[in-house]
Parts: sequence; C-alpha cells; structure tokens
Amino acid sequence: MKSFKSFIAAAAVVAIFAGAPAFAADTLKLDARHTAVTFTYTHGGFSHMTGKFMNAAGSVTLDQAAPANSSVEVSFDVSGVNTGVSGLDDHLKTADFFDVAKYPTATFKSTKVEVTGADTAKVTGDLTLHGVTKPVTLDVKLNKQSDDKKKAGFSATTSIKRSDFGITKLVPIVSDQIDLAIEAEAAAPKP
Amino acid sequence: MWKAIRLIAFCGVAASGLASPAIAADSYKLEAKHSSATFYYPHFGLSHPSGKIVGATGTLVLDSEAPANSSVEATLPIANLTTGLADFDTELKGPDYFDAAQFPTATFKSSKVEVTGETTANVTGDLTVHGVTKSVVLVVTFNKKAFNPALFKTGVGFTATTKLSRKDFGLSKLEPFVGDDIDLVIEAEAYP
Repeated sequence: MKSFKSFIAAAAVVAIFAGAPAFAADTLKLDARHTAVTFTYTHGGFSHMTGKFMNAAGSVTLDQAAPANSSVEVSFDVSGVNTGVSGLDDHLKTADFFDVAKYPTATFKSTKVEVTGADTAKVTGDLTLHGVTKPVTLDVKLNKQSDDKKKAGFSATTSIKRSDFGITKLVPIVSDQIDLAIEAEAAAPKP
Repeated sequence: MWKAIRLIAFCGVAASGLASPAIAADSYKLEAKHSSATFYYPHFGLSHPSGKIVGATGTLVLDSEAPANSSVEATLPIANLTTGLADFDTELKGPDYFDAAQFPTATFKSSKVEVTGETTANVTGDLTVHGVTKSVVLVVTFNKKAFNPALFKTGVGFTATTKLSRKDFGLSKLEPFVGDDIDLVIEAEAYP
C-alpha cells in the first residue's frame, strides 16, 4: 500500500516536473539574522531550558511547480550557542557537551521532501552534530512567501535524542530528548 | 551512591515533614538561573523571532491545602535580555523599546489563583513592563515537586504562558511590520 502510494506520488512528481518550466526552482539564501535554531530540554522535569543558535548559513531551493524537489542546506557555528546564562554557554561548548573545539559546525542537508499539505512538508535529511551524522525528519510549515517569491519564511520542529549524537553528559537529569524549533527566513540573493 | 543520596533525602524530607507546623503554605524563592521569560513575535508573517530574559527573582507561596491561596511575586532584569544578536539586544534595551535605563525591571504580582485542574491554574496578576502595569492571566502548569540532588533541596517547577499586546505596554515601534501579538513563555523553578 505504502509503496503504491509512493509510486503514485513519484509518478505525480515526475509528471509535474516534466511539465514545469525549467526555472521553477528558486534558490533563496538564509537570512542569518532571522534564522534561529532553538533547542529545548527538561531540567530534571522541573522546567524547560532553551538554547539558541542565530548564525545559520545556507540556502533553500523552493521548486514552486514540484515542491517535493525542494531542498535545504544549512550549517551553523556551534560556538554561537546562547542560553542567556553565560556560564552555561561556556559549559555547553566544552567536551562535556558540544565540544566546539573539535566539532565547530553543525549541518543539515535535506535528502527528501514529502509534501503533506498546502503549506506543510516532512523534510528528511542528514543532521551532523558533534561529529555524528543521523537522519532526522523536520515537520516544516511554510509561513509565507512574498508575491514575487523572492522571500519565504518557515517554521520547523523535530525531536532528537542527544545520546544518538554522542552527547550524553547528565542524562537523564538533563533530558536526553531535545526538541528543536527552527524559525527561518530566506531571500533571493541581491543581484 | 544514588541510593544513599535518595535515602538521606527521604529521611530529610520525612524529618522536616514531622517537624513542620500545621500551616500548609510553603514559601519558595525563584531560582534565577532556571527562571526565565521568553517572548515570541511575528515578523512580517515570515517567522517568529524570540528574545529571552533569564534571571527572575521573587517569592512563590504554595498552599497545598488551599491552592487558590497561593501567590507569586517575580522581578525580571531587562538588562539580561538576549536574542542572540548583540546589536539587536542593545536596540531592544534602548529608548525605542524597553528603555532599560529608565525601566530596569519587569515585575509580576499575582492577585488571584484559579485552579483549573490537578496540575494547572490560571493566575491573574499585575504585569509591569516599560513602566506600564496591566492585568494579565498566566496559564500555569505545575511540572513537578521533587528533590533536586544538585541543590540538595526539594523544589518545584512551573511552565506558564500568556499572550500580550506590546502596544498595551507602550512598545509599539515598527508595528505593524513587526507584529503586536506577543506570545510569552515563562519557565520557573523555586526552592526553599
């Protein structure tokens, strides 16, 4: 059943793609000032703590005619971690957690976009963090596109286990489950 | 080791329980490092940027027998505001927005606690931001009461949310491009 559905989907994608003009895909550059990756974990079940990265660099290719052909590639500097508590930021950067001296960059590269609604999609890709690469699936919502398609904004969420990425210190007092919330804006590069 | 710590903790709790007077209200102090307010706002409909203020101080009184008699008073230092963009933080703390020089703190003082479930309550109170005081209702979830081995104390944790209009507090710069509707998420831990 699932493979039948996939076949139909693939056929539809191929059909749409074949019929689409060659310039249907717009590549937009992520706007670092309006792109944030926020992670949330629970602190012993008492409260939810957050940290944020505000230095993403990368691009989003939106295929208007065949959304499943869209893609995203992003990297960010892990040393930019910001929890609002500078002592905690310093600790998170050490070998106890992110080990930024050894693994300065985290990356996400999409491998599959599955459209789930008029403005939603499941985007699967490879997340590399702390030197470990694992597939993750983001639930993505396209918040808005400008009329000229030169600007787009997204929200995306997923959950990961930090132990999958070899970051195990203080589990389970500091939760293994990490909820990720991504807010992103992207715009066509200025000519 | 953990068993020993738990045993000691249990004995401690039991002893303090025996010795405590009949008054059911317990007073806790907010733990600044784990007590924060995060605000989200809509940016041209494209995304929801956020800013966070960590470092709330204040007092929480929990009346376990009559929860409606519980109360909270909290103060948040605007100087701690961070968005992850240093220049933007400076702008937000400046006279165009929070004006931290003139209004260095935000405060909340509860006036009514309405229990809505086993672990939830609507807490009404006066929120003062930017020198303006308005009544707001926080939708509060009680997360946990437990022994925290790191602090060697039994504490409580809460999450609370509410929605605000920033222009209600005289913070209307860049509307409507930067939206008026603010989602506020408060995380708090408190210990004796």
